[in-house]
Amino acid sequence: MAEYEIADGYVRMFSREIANQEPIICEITSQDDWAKHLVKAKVVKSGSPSAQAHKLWARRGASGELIDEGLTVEILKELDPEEVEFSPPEM
Amino acid sequence: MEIRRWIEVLRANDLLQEIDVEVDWRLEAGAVALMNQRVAHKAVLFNKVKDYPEWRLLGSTFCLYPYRHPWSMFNLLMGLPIDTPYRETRTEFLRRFTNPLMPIEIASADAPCKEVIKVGKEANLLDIPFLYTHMQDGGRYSTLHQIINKDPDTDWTNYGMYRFMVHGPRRAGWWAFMGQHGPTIFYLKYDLRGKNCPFCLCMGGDLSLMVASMVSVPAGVCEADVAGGFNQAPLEVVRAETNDLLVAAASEVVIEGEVLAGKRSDEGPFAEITGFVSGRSKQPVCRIDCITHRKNPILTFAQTGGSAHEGTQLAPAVSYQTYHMLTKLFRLPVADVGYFSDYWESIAMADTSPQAKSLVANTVFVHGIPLFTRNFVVLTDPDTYMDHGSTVLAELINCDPENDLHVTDMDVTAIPVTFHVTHEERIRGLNMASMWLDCTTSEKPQELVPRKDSFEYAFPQDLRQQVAAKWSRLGFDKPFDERR
Repeated sequence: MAEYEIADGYVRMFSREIANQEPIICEITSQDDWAKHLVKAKVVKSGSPSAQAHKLWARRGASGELIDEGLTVEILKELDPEEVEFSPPEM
Repeated sequence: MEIRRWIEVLRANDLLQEIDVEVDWRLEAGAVALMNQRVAHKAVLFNKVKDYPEWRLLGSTFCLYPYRHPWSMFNLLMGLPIDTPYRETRTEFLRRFTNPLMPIEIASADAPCKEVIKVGKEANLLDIPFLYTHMQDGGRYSTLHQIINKDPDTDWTNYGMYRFMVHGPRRAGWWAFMGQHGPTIFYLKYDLRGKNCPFCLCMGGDLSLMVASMVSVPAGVCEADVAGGFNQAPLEVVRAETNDLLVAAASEVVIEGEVLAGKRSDEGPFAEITGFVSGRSKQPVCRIDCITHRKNPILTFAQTGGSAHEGTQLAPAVSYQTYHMLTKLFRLPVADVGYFSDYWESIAMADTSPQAKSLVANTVFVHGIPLFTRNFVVLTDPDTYMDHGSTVLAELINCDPENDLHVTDMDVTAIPVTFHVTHEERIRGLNMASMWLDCTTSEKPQELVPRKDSFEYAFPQDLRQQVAAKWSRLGFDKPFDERR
């Protein structure tokens, strides 16, 4: 299982979708090489994650702290940031 | 001076820690460099980098001396004796800085930075050991480099130092704030017109170019010309592979690409030169088109997080420029300018009248050389020796907060590494008020002004001369240093 991080702004912006286990479009960062990936993904906060799910850390936008909020991410599709209109969340 | 020559100079002066044990680019190299900056004050050359056998890393490039004598680095760079005093170094620095020389273009075949060329999909930022340097960082960064772009209307080329966040193999983030030349060119001359902005990032090619890109060079003046003046020889440059920008031919690495119009992505957090974390924000995005580098390249990095890093070591250059601005350009009554930090200025006043003090402080706020010092100025007596201890003493002893603390309501632009404004103001670049401390004493009741005590005040002149005359015979290898 790989590990990724996500800016906590996404977790706030998509709190309803995360609670309902609905897919979201977000940027996650690999904890292996720190490459960012724009993905359509299912982020799960509670409940049982799928077998394809990866550990997901939350990065505080202001302090930079990495927090374990019990999140997992299942990547449904990797997107091309050059082609997808996308704006990251505010702090 | 290219980085490989600098390494030779450091080695010859016993200022290089060479490490042949393998280190990890994930945090470990940064941890070693930061502790080195605290205790050893040498540059650190890592010869074996995990996952990157072809590469070497150079950390703490300028962090050679404890905080008290950071200008020694400029002495080495200018070929002066290493113990040349602060003011003599300043005279030579300003002489070179104000006599620029235009670069000369050489053929690609003669340029060391073209030894390896990777274009298009072959170009991969993850093939370069960009460091992950603090656990608060949101990714891997390049910091000690020049980012080059050009004003399309005037052909003015700017070389600046702005952090660069690796996002993926051919994608990166650029921490770009209005007011700084490179970002302003991008926002006003490309982004507003819906055009991508060609750029190059180069590192290691010339240390004077690095200095020129970190200090304040007026808009319209090219840092490559300033570097030539500093080196007293034209900088050799070569044309990039995929755009018409000129890079230092001796660069270790050159990254070419375009800043994309209208695109923004997450940038940060990053533990910055302030010693504090600057948070995440939306910043411009770069597409990478080409990477060229030397064989067995050396990646330079700045390890922030301590009191002695590249920013503080370059503080004397900022002070030299401030001195030049106040005394030569504006002809204000200033006796001396200190060198302690890029975040505040200590200025010894030649005229301590209220009008003069206000004028000097506000001139720094409005025309301040580095963006960061615009908010805090300390004014001291004419004879205050500009070392850290003397000025701090002047602040503590001679500043009465009730009367001598002046806060302006000037709406100076804040940037994310200023930490005394609210988080929102910092991110949005708003509302940075400024403060100056009046630590001069001539306006105060003289019976209340404490008498100074130092070597210069504690002993009569004939005794000081007697000690000076026999100083070397007493066995000291450092020069006598009377400070008046």
